[in-house]
Amino acid sequence: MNLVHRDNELLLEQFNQRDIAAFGEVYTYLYDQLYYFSANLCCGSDLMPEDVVHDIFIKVWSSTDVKFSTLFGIKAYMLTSIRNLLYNHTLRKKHDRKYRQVAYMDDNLFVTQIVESGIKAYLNQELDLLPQECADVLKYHLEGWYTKEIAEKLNISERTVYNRKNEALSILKSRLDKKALTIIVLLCS
Amino acid sequence: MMSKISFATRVIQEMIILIKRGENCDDIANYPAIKELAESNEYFPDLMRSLTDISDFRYITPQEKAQARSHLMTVLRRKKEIRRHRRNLSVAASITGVLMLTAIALYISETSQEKMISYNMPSENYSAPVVILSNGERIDLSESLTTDDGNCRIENHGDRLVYESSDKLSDLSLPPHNTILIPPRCRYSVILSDGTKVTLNANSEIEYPVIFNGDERRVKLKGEAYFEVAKASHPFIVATEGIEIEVFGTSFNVDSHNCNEVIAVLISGCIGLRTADTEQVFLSPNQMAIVNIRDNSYSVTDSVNVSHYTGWKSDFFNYDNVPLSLLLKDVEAWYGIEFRYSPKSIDAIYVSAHMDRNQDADRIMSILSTLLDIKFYRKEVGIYEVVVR
Repeated sequence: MNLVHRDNELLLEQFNQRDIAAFGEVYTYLYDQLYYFSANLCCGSDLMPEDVVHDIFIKVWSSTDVKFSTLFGIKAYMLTSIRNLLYNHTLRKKHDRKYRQVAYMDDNLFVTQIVESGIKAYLNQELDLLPQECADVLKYHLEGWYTKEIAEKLNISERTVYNRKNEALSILKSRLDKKALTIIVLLCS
Repeated sequence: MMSKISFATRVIQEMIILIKRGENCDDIANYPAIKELAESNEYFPDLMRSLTDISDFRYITPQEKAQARSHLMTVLRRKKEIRRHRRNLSVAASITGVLMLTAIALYISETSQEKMISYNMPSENYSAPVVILSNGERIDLSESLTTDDGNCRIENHGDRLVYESSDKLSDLSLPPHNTILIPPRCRYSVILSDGTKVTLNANSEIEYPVIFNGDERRVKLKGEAYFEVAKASHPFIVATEGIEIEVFGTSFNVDSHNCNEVIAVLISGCIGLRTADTEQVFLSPNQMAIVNIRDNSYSVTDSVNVSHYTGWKSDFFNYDNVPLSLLLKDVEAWYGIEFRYSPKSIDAIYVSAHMDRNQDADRIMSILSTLLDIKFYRKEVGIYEVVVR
């Protein structure tokens, strides 16, 4: 993820001192992944992912004695916190028949979910850098719309949808490093 | 039978290994490791489907994100106002903090081996090379000088110290010894009285007799140096902690910065290495020996690209498509700092660079982190953790 080019040590220090601007920077940096991670967990509950992420940041803000030694540490802390928060939330609602029994997310699943949310966040960031028309088509495709529906939505032919999607994918492929390439190929197939 | 979840983790781990090895992952399902997993588990098709099914992907617009951020800012500002009026921190918050931190420790404890190298750092601080004469006098080599010791004339030519012996000395049975100390970010050469040229890297030390008298020519090295040994009737021996290198004519590099091992690379001629309890091992040109001085084991590698190990002699960090670990080693030696990282994490990173040595370590790290998508975190003075993004 591209952090605004800035001295990480300074940012970390200010974050630890609960400086508001530093919080804003870290929020921008971590938002995507935390959002997607929350979204997966929030499935079926009445919680909104954006609220969850918001609440976690407020919580960290308030726990002024919690200090971090790396940016990665902040991310790890927040992901763990989100998991715990959602688990506690669904536990409390267990009596309500609407809620399925949610098993505590063990480490394996935790890792899988982190990887998945990381991929989505990466994808989200890359989408912003595509030319507008290709980006739109790809976004709809990723959100699950069928070619026909996308064509109707954007008022273009199915052939055009197909072309733009491929163009988007080939741009992504050339932009992405090996790390993400495989995953994207898998995700878009 | 593996659970669905641990199976998913295994697949991801295998994929990550493949990616790190730089394999072309377009046809990942056909890789032996993945195929094996697939054949052994009925959940594989489900997993692939769930990895490819991103119907729950929702694009987050920049506006949405900016709005969420400003919402957070507003709330935080309000809280800051309120806090000014409250002196006491709640106990509950600190307890939560402790519990959460435990969770992190569990989460982050992976089995990554950290590469830890300790250096034999010179014991005193100085910023220019210094020569210590046999009478204990220390002379700063940043100024030119002409002096003598034990009837041998010593001249400082700016970047090297030259010893010229006169013929009268051969009756001295125990010639006086001099020592040269090299601080960080310096390179310096000395031309010994037999004409041998020794180029010393930063953070190194060499002790040698003013003239060579007797059956052998022996010097003591700490750190790293490049030797161009003059041909003479007596063998030339380099002693460094744990091993001795006997030179049968000519040019080689010795690196003993790492206190666990000594690395010798032969450019031309022939050298023999010996530890306390092993027999002499001979190297031919372009061979590299790594001797573990803790257990006296060693390994010899053929056809080594010697320029990778002598690159420190140039005024630049000049490398063409070398493993990152090599460049980091040079930077560590030059600045007298330490990098910590798990070797696997930078395995696949190769770098070409041409950077002036005459700049701060911070500049170098900033260049590398822009070039390569890695980050350096300062852990303590002179110790940095390298993280690959």
